[in-house]
Amino acid sequence: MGSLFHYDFIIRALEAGLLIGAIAPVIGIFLVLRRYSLIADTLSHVSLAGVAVGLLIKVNPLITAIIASTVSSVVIDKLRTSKKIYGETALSIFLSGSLAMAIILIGLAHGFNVDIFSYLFGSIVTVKNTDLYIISILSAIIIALLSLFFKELIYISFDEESAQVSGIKVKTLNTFFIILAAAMIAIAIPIIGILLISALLVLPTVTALQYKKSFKATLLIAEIISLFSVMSGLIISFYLNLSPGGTIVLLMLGIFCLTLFYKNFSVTKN
Amino acid sequence: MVGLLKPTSGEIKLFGQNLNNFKDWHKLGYVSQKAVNFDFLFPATVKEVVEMGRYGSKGLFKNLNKKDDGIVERSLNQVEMWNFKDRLIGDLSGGQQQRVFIARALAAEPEVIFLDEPTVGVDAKTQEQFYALLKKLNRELNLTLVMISHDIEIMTKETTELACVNQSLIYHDDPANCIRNNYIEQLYGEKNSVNVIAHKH
Repeated sequence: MGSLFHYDFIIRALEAGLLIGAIAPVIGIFLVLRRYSLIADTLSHVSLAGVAVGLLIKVNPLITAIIASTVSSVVIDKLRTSKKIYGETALSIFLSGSLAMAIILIGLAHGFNVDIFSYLFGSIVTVKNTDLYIISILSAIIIALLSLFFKELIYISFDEESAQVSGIKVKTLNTFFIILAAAMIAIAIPIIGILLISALLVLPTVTALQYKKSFKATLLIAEIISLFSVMSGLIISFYLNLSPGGTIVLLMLGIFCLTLFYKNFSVTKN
Repeated sequence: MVGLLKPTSGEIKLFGQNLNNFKDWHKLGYVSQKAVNFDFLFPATVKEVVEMGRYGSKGLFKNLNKKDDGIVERSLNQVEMWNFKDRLIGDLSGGQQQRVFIARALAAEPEVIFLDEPTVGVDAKTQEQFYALLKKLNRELNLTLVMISHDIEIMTKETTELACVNQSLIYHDDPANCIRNNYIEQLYGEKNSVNVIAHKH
């Protein structure tokens, strides 16, 4: 363990991982329960276009990714609720559209092929000091706003219609939530990588759901799985020189499979 | 009528206020048609579901306090479901779930409860118990219950006042009269969907 903390970059990665690992399940549980899981995938691809723009115009790619992701989350939400096109169609248009844009932009400036790879799959050396500041500030904002309307979000996820009749501003809160989810997805890019973000959001919640507990207990289990996987994944990837995103997601997947196996096994035994 | 759909014409008034700037949402409870059609995997205990009934009257950023806990317990006791408070809502039977959703509506301490086709997909025996429970609440809590249903037979039997709506209001009076006269024919004359709104006072 000694050598681990000799490097500044790994300390930054661990700090960023701690924040992202903690927020991911809070966003993820609502995405999963509201059947919004695919939004995470779409928004992460939109973030890739944002990263490409950032690299091209030499602005911190994390900032352009956050802007791209949040702006398109609002547009996607509007398209979905306008009922002019199907919800999942809106998602696939944005997914392939932003990927097309990213490819063209990357092609235009052939210089940053190596960089792009670390954004796609995550890297423990990508987290720069400014990135850590941005991640910390946004994490604080996301947590503050989420706790502001946490109980309303539970109600909306469970029964949107009744929530509205009880006087909760469902539409406004939906938009707020989708913006927060978009911001969360963008700040997870440096560590997890664009292609694996949805696993980070979805897997801990899906695993926790198998335990069939109350909402609070489910969220707590998801938090434990998320933080454990992110932190140990980062440490393992440092020592074995693996991709951190891949390691974290494989750990989560392993826990998910163990839980499924354990749950089914104990059910058949009874 | 509860603000989920915008009227194509005219205006809707609740407690004398126009619906567009209606503020007293806590005065009405709502048990939706989809009540027993929710996501059975949703991780919420019976108690957590009934607590949702308190959220509407609480502001943002305010947690439930002791008083809310008391109201939640009382509401669950009123539908005789307090013993199930720690069970997952998805694990209960349809009739039990219905009781929990009524408890959630009660927890908001409303003056009127709207029930939108609450007995769709429920067997006859559960339905009977359900109406017995509604009668009890109606009597003991002095609560107005507004029921929207397609089941005209039950409606004429179980309600004290009846309004038949098929595009427009056809009938609004004592339920017994509705059968005696040929309002039913008028109601079913058109092939459009038929709603019966019945008040219990």
